[in-house]
Amino acid sequence: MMKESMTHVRKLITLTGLTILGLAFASTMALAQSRIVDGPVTLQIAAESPSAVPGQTVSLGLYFEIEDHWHLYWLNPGDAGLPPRVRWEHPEGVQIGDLQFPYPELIRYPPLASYGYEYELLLPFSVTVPETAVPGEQIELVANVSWLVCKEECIPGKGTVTFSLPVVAQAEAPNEFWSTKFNDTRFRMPIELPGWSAGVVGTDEAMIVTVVPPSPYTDPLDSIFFFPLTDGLVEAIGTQSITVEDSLFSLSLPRTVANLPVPDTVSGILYNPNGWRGEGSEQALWLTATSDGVTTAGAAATTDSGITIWQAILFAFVGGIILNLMPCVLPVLSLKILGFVQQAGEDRSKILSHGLVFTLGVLVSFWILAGALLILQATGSAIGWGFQLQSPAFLVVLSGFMFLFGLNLLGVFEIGTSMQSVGGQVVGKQGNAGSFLNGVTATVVATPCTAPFMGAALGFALSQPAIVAMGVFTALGLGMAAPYLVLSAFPRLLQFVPKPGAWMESLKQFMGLLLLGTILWLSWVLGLQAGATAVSWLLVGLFVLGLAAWIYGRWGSLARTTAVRRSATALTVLLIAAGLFFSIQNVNVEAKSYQAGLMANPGTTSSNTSGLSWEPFSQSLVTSYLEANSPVFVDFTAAWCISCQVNKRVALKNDDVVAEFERLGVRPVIADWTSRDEMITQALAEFGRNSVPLYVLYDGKGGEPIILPEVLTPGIVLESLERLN
Amino acid sequence: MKKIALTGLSALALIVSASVMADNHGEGETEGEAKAEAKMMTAEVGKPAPEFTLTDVHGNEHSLSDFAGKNVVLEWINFDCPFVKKFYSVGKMQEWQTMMAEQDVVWLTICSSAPGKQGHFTNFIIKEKMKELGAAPAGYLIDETGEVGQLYQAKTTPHMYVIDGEGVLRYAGAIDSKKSADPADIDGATNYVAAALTAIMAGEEVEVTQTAPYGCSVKY
Repeated sequence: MMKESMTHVRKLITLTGLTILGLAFASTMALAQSRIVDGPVTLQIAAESPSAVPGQTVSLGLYFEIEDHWHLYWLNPGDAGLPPRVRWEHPEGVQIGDLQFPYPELIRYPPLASYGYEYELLLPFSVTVPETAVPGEQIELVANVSWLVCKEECIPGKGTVTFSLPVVAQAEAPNEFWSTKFNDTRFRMPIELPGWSAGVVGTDEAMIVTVVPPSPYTDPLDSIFFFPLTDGLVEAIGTQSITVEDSLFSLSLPRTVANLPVPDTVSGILYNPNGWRGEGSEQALWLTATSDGVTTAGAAATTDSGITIWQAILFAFVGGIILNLMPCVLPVLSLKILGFVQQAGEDRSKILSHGLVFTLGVLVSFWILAGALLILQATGSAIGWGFQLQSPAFLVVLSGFMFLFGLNLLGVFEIGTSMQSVGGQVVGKQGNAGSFLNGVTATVVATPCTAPFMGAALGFALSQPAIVAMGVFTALGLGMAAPYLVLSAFPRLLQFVPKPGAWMESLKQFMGLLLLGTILWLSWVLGLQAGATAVSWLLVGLFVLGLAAWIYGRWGSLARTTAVRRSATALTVLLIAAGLFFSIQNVNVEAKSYQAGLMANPGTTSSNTSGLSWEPFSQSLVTSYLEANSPVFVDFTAAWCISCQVNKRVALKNDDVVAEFERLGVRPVIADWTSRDEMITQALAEFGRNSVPLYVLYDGKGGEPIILPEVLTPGIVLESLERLN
Repeated sequence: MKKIALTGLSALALIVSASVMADNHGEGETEGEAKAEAKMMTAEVGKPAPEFTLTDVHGNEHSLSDFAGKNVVLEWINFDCPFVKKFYSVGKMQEWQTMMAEQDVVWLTICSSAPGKQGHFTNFIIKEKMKELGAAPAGYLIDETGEVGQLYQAKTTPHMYVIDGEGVLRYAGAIDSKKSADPADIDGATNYVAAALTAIMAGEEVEVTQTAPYGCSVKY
């Protein structure tokens, strides 16, 4: 009896136990849909925003909760381990980006170590909802995830989690809890900083990573650590020792002969607990170190453009020569031709000296520009080549300069001719001053247009110590002046130039008109930057300058008495100064309020409207398109860059090109650098550039971006688009 | 006109040759630096494999030099590691051990787990496990102190080494090319150990001599 009841009780207990087990099992099955528990790991899919609108790209993430003492692994697990992996099942049309890994920590198990994550891990990925999605529908995502979790021992985990992303008509506010987690993780993502370059060299005992910041890095570096992306290269547990030299620093990562040979390129995360951009900033920097990035000189001759000093100088020289053919130099080019026509009658040594002085004019201008650029860059200003045209005040001064030069050619006033008639001995001097000025003008006007090769050479120059940069700029100037120097050294070539005569006066006046024409362009640029009122102020300034020129021409000539001449000159100087001053002041005020207006209402400046719908550039826009695997074309342009405008008209607005863009689904993005823009300056620097135009085509499949030439034809664009197929 | 062309050409030639010379100069020095490093006595591919003596589960001592003239495979093991289980659970590792033995290759399994750490067992349990799994190495060697493991810089289980008849280390690294703990990935992966042995037996150069090993960390 007792025994029997005991058996009953046992049965009952067993039955109850089974039922509970069954229920528990059933509930885990149900939960397995959205959240799974597998040993020390709990996995679910997290969404930053509760829903998405059609066409939107949202951030989702695999969220692992990890029991204490266990860890998951980074892409390079260190000595042992495996990173989490995912295989997706999702509705057609939905695009899912790669898992993004934040920086790991070093997990030590002497004598070995791993790169991994403890406690929790969020691996974000992007999800792009198709435009065709209908609000009200649910996008079902199925993630088949596998991972390895270890403490002393390891457990491979595997599981399937699902997530339903509701499609809605109106975007909803992000979930606060998840939004915090996503932001924390984003802060841990490696950043890329422009101008940083690195070299790597491997010996049997160490892998030495040399880092060259764009300017000497002064914050403490004592706790930095490099996580190489490739496994097997170094002893993960080894102490990384750091050496700081003036402008660079190196990390030595211990190796043994048992490690793999160091390849030519080593990427990885350089971790700095102090933050790379000052206290509290991002701690992980993405570095790509190359074997030719380290020179034996020990100087900071490291380049991310992958070219040597000599190549850069050669490129700069060739680029300088080609500068003469760029559209924005043409008006000045004709001026120079005029100069040679005038000189054709003079003797050989004079012509040579003109050539030399012209060259000097070009060089001095390049040096001044380069010096200013280097100084501004050293002070941390995010600027680049052509920056002078981003300043409204400079535009006013340049317009004034062009205007006076034009009026001079049109005969409103003369400089030096009066002197010429007075004393023959100073003629040479005056002519030299003219040649020098010609050189200066040519440089100032030419700089915004980058010829092919020049972009890379400039990018190189600006990542160099000042002396090397100056060398490159000198080569650039020499290249630009070379054809004229050659002409003046071998004046026999000038016999092909017609003899001076009355036609010269007509030519001169025509050139004057061409110069005035450049003001059209400059005022258009100013209009884009500072609005129509600013252009009016520019015209007021030019009117005053015109008055000054007329007074000087009428009463400043030697035909007048000394007293009259002096008063006229004084009045002229006063008028010029006052005209420029008031004009600049008002233009600056206008520019400020105009740009403030733009900030409030962005997207209206885009000067590239016809044909394709160009979206204003942002790094996140490009990244989101690429994560969604759509090809992207970025047009780095500026209103003041005539080459850019010509390219746009000739190639980018071409009907065939537009049709092909649409057929391939290439997203057109415009990076308008007309006004100073930190983000675009940085994006240019990432391509080793400091100037526009730059055309970049991303294939959307993770391939290397295709860089198009600076001079575009529809054929060139179509050819690069063809590579997407 | 000729003169200009000549001057231009020679200037161009000068610049180009100067840049080429600068390049070569740089490479030369880097190489010199690398070669200047002398090396300590650890296992290095292409060099004689370090000598060791260990006791197997039956209490017999084995030295590497005992097997002079024969090709030797070293396999680092930890029976509780999922990456080791990947190969033993489906009989693959046993199959290779038998196959190699038929080719007169000496397969030595070494366990460097420290006492009390995962993978460290009494000899009795190891013998039971081997019988149960049908493992057929020429010897299961105990390296409790981890000395041999560190001599060979064994990092993971499995971590594989191939030594030729001359005693030269010809391969070190992963067992195959698919880094996973899933037995389904074994077929379709390149087996580096088999490839190295095939090349050695054919008297050819081993194509892949070194890879990053994958697996659990060795429990030193």
